[in-house]
Amino acid sequence: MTHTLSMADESLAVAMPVSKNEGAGYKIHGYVFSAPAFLLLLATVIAPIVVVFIVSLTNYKLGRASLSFIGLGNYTKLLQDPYFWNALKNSAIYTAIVVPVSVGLALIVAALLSSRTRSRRVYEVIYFLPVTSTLTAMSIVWSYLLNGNIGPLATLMTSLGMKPLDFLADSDLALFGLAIIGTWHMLGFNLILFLAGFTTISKELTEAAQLDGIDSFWDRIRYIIWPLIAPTTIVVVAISCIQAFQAFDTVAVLTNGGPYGATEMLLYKINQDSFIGLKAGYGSALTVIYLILIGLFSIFQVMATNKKAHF
Amino acid sequence: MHGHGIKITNARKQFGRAEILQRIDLDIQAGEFLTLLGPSGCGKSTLLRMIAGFDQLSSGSIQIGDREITRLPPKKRDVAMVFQSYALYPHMTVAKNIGMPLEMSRLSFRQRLPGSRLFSRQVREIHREIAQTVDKVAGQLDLKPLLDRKPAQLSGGQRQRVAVGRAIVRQPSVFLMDEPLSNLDAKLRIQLREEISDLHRRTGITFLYVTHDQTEAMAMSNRVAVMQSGRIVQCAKPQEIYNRPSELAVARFVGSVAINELPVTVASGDILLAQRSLKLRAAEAPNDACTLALRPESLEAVSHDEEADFTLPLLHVEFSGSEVTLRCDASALGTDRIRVQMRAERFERLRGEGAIEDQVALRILAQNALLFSRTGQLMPAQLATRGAGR
Amino acid sequence: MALRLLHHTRTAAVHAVLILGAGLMAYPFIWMWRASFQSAGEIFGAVANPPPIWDSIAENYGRALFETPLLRFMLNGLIMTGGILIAQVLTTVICAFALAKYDFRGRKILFALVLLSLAVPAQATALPIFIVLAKVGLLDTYLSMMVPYLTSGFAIFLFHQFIKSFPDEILLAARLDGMTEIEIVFRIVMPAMLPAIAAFAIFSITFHWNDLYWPMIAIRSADMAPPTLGLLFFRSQGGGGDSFGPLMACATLVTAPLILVSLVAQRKFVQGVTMTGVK
Repeated sequence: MTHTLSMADESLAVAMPVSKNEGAGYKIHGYVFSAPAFLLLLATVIAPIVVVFIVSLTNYKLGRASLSFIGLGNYTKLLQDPYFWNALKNSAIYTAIVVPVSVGLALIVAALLSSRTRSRRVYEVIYFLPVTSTLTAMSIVWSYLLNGNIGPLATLMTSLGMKPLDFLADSDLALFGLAIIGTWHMLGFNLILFLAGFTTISKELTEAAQLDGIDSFWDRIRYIIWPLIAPTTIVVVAISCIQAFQAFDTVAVLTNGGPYGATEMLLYKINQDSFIGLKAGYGSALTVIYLILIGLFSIFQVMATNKKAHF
Repeated sequence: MHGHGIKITNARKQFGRAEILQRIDLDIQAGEFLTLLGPSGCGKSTLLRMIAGFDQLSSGSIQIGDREITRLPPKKRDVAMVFQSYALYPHMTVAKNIGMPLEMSRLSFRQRLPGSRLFSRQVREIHREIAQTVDKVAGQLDLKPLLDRKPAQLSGGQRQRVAVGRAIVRQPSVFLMDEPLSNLDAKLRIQLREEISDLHRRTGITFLYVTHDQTEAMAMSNRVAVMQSGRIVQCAKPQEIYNRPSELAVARFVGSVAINELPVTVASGDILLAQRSLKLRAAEAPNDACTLALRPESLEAVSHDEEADFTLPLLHVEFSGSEVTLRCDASALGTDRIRVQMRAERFERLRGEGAIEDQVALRILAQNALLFSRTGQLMPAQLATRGAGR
Repeated sequence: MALRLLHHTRTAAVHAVLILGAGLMAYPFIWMWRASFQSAGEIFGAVANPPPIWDSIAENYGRALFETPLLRFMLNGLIMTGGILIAQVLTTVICAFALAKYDFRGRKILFALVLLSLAVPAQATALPIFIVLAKVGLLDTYLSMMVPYLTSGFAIFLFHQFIKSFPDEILLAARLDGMTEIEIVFRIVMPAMLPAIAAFAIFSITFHWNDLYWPMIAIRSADMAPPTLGLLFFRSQGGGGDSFGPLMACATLVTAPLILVSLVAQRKFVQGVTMTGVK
């Protein structure tokens, strides 16, 4: 009989939302404090997205006073536009080169670097240099480095008795040229993400694994390193894909989409059609496609990050 | 500095359908040290927050002194608070932390804007006064050498003292403390317990102290209000809480060694334990199943030639300095364990006589025995030893 | 002994690979710096009598600084990145505070909006913003450079995570001390989150200093151009072999601020720039 009482004691421990309840008295503050950011988000992100959707259904041209709705006309035109498919293909090829190479190399470098203690800082700084540097400026430098007549690469190849490759002027090579720069630019970023991932593999864990008989190099990779680093890798791949699809600076500085559209990528085409060709309606339709692609990658990234958080 | 009383009338609080506080009435005297004691989730912290004004009552009223403060914002209530986590401003020095309440009350919003010190001589003057007051408070609390440090550079005890300094600097009429010692180690806790008692005596402010630690409550308070399920079960002096708990739940909660509970039956004033009559009578108690609750010191180990209530197998002997606690197997009595406490000398003497070996004979001391009804209420009936009654 | 030798060779091999990689990463910078220190002919081939290095440096950097509007570009860049940063911090900190510590209707919708904005790349919103700016005649101004970035969903999200873990008891203590809510934000919460703000500041400054896409749309005149756009103006004007040294000097100077910061505050910098990855 006495036990009923003690049970009642415990059931009293009702959890209550302390901070939430305390916040309830501050509704006005909540509105006032969030208003500036909320209105700005509305004006600079949400409203423009809506406008883009609407404009993509019209034949609006920049500078014109009139417009009329043409339904999905821009989208059907887009599907038949060889230049659109070319741009999409180029973006895909560029991504297919840059992402695996920059992620793979970053993973290798991170694995080598994670066991270094004293020299790690120095390497980190150097590998990170391209990430922070202004890509526009460095693209100008790269235009000389990859130049087939005067660049150091050409000199090296000539001295080895090969025919020098003119990366940016040759339509077969130009996309690879940009991919080289893109890889160079993104590798350090991915490296840092991987190094953060490697910190989850503690010394204690490797030691415990050794006690369990996991001591050869390959076993360690298979049972310890890869399972722990795989979630990070997925996140890195997602982020790299987003970045690769956003490639613009190198195209605008170095090739202007040329030669003969060989390097015209999605974002550059959007920019050209919207602001140079003034075809706002068509450009908006392209933007919608772009938005959907980036949105998909973002969702993928968020899902991968959430999965990682469960570890 | 002088304290004001706090009068809480019919206070209730609901969160959705859960009733966190149900009809609290509490009258705290000016200058009193009152402790709200109870297990976590019993509503004691909620009540404290209501008094501070962080949260509004669903119904009822709170008065401090003669002022009705139920709807006032925290800063207008003239209360100070020490939080469990101390809640020091992490980026400010000790001096700045202690001075903050003064800066807030003595400077207007405009005068507090950055740079105002440069333009206004008056502001500079106020800042100088604040610095003096802070210095004085720091002197009282032995914080002077630490005034330029940040909270992260202080030990737990020092942080606690800074929190106290920030609270007393503005000379409040009521001082609220929310488990202020629970983050400290045992030794420091006892030391700071004394410091807080001294502070109370020195300042004469009304202290309202919240804790789940009954030793703290017993050691420091004028009165203890034991809370359970959102209501105050008993509010009385520590001795009374300990000796005459109004409910079995209170009896269980208070006391450093758990109280012994024996299932008994009352039959026309006789108390039957395991079908045997004890040498104990409750003349006025109705016939019913009850719980006989005995503090560990209300049982006495006796030698062979003395009369005993029961004899139990001894399981374990625990020494704690001057006291010895025996743990006996009480399965024969319908309960699990019985704990008996006695002075170390007495234990040695009895063991020397051979009275405590693997069996120990125990006698109930009638004057401290407690009888609780089936529903856990203390029965008013007087308990007496059979012989003495006649 | 043999084991140790093996260990040493392995370490040496690792370093060899790392150094090779580091050399490739750094090569464009080294080449750029060297080119900015040399006269025009030198870098692409042997010149019989190269002028003394100090003359070349003085020549290249002198021309970059005083014959081109480079200083003007850098000033524009400074105003743009600074203005954006101040606006972002002011709007996002109080918004994040409201989201984390107040309960008000619409809070969840606002938070969903913030998360949604994380998935929207800045380029997608460029056209409508451009149209509006053109309508009100604000193109080619400092304001037009900053408009798309006056607040940042990412910063709100980041600061929200931080403020959420900030102890409620400190806020209660501040209220008891008599602070107003806005003072709590600026005197208590903001100083405590300076590390997070610093990391975000680096992220923001890097992004906007290096941004080419939006300035290309919003800015038409060289007077208003930030460094990235300015470099393109400069190259399209000269471009010949004669201005090659000064061009490399310009590129060096434009990249210098961020590189210097990344060397001085490497930890913070890495943290700031890679924040997008840990969100």
